[in-house]
Amino acid sequence: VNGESTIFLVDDDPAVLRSLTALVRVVFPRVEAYTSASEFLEAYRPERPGCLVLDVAMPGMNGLELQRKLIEGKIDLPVVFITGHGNVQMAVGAMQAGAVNFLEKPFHEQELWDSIRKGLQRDEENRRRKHRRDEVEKRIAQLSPGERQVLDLILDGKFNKEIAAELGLSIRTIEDRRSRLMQKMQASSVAELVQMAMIR
Amino acid sequence: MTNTEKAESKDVLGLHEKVEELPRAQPGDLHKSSLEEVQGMIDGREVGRGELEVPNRARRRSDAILGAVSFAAERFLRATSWEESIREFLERLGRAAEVSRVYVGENYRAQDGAPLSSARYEWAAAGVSPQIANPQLQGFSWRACGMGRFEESLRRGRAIHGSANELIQSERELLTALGVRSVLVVPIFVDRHWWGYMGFDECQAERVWSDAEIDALKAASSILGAAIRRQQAEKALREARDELEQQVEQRTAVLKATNWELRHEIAQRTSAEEALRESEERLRSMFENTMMGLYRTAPDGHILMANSALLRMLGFSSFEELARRNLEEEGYEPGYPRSIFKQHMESRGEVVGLESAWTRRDGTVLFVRESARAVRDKAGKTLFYEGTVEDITERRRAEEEAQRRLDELAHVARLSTMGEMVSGLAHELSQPLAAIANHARACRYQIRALRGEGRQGVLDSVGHIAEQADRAGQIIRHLRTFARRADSSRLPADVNELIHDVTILLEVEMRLHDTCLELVLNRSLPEVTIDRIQIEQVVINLVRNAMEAMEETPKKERHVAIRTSCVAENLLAVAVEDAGRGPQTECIDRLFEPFYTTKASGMGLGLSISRSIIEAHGGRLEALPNAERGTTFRFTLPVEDKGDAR
Repeated sequence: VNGESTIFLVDDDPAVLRSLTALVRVVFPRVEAYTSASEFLEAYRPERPGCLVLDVAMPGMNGLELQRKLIEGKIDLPVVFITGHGNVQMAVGAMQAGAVNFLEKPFHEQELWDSIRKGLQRDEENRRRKHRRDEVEKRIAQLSPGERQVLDLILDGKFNKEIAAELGLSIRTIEDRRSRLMQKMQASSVAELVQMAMIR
Repeated sequence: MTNTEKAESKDVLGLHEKVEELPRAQPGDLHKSSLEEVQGMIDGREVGRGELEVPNRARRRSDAILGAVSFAAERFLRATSWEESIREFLERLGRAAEVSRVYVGENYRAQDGAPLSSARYEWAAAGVSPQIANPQLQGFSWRACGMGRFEESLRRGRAIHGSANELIQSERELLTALGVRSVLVVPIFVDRHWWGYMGFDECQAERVWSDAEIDALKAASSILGAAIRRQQAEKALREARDELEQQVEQRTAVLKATNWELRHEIAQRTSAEEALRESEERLRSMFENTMMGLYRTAPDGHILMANSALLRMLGFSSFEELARRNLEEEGYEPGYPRSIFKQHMESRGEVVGLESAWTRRDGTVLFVRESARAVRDKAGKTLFYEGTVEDITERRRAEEEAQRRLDELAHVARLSTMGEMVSGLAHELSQPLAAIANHARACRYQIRALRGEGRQGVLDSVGHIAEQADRAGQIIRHLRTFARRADSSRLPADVNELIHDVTILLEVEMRLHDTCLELVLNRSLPEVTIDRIQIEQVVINLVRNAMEAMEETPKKERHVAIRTSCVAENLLAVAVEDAGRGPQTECIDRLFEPFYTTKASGMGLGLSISRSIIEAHGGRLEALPNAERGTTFRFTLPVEDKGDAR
């Protein structure tokens, strides 16, 4: 578990919020508590890893609305819902929108911790994938236009000869560009190249 | 002159005796005397007198003349008027006497009183010119035309006769002008009054008139006079009789009039009696046929009179049957004793609009509204009570039904209130309980990380805290589920009709609040599937809120409007508008929170419950401030049942 990750708690009832904080802190040291959705939205920066634990029923913006807001803002923070009196419809809606879990009170603390842990794992994966994607993008950005042309044709599954014929260049030139390209992309094989392209 | 003297004397002498023979007719003895006279004359004629010259011829003539006179007598006797037979008589006479003309003239007086005569009837033999149309003989004066001697004789009742050559100059001139050679004229007397004359003219030759002829002619004139007299008498008699009859008639008319008046009076009296009877009958009919019960009862409880309406109300088939009741003992329902009636009666002398309950024959209850007065004698002692009774059982039932429904609604409202309270409490309590449980659990994990004596005991205790908090939470959760389950049957309903029913239930409250209600209902609302009682409760809550919101509004401006409308194809809306001061804008959001209230009394659950109900029906309830003043609470209801809308 990434020690940098933070558990964000949102509940309108301050007493409940405090007790939740205490309970979550038993397992996850970094906890931030907010008494309303808007307060959280204002404070949160997308680069901060973690998991969001949300009460569904809140005055003003409720939990489900906050979830929608995050999706609209392309903020991929995993959400665990807690509800006093939810119903199936609500739960299905929340899950379809990507919630990690929909916990109905009273829940066992283990359930909450497991859900949070699952949320953190998902956040970590998201972030790792995002990091790799960013890396690939960065390497592609270093390629010259000629190298870029050759990369696209390699990804299409073409051999040097075919690429040379298509671009009206000598095989030699293609081979040069190809070895430079592989170097810049830090790929040791075509298979690695294709993997990178798929991340993207 | 000598000739004239001679002739005159002779004639005068010749006739004088006969004139003396004229009977003195007595009044009232007309016919008889005349007839006897004539008869006597005919029977006792002296035949020998005319036998001097041509005895046979004269005698035959005389007989014939008498035959004519006899005929005339008979005719005149039978006929009502002598004038009917006069022509025939003259003709017979003329033929019998073998003369040229026979005539009758009448005397009369001119306007200045001068005596005049006119020829009236005439017979002329063949070849003789008639003189009836001769103007000389109409309205002539004997004296003026030189016939003074004639007039003198006739007036005296004497016959006068002569031949032209025997007469004086003036007489001869006239007669010659008429073509007369010999003439015989006799007077006609009617009741001793010279009436006229009758005469023979001979135009062929001079003629000497025999006594028989003269007598016969006198008899004829006498008969005619009698006939005229008779006729005059008859006429007088008839006139007298007519007058009498007229008098009788007049008297009769008076009698008739009197009679008619009497009859009229009798008729009037009869019709007055009839009118009285009719009015009595009408009263009786009213008494019997009115829908209102009418009675008369004695203070001791006896029923003296009751009309059929009252019998019907009470279920009795006859008055006798009802009269067996003594009101002091039976007839009044417990809780409505007769003493109330009597108290009212004694203290005020009358009872007005007293509502009471009586027992019907079959034991069921009749609710009545009665008014009565006491009828007293001069000493002030009550003789009996007289009263009217109105059957208000239906109205009472309707009122009771309305009350029952209100109670039922109130009960439902109480149940809902309890449910909502539980729901609200559960929510409020579950939060701290959850917090307690969370903290307890957090404690357990922190304690576990510690070391030292008694750690286990603290851990156990904290574990119990968490468990009991969970348990309390469970109980509350169950309670809440139970309260929420008050979801009764839903059926299709007409919202307008529902609003109508509700306004009937609220009528009394509206009056008490001096609030005027306006309904603006869209008639083409679709039906909705609802829990009728719950929606009724929402409307009642909203109207009551509206009334309460206007407690400080001037009475004349207290106005609530309920509007229904279709806001979308599948959504209808009901709006309740008041004219009150309305809540502060910032409070509007909080209106629907449980236990939020602006009122001194009340728990602040009405709107919260109403919102729960409407949301359970898939609709929305909201409050909007009006443009001018007051608030509009508006709820929507989906037309199609949305099923599980929670």
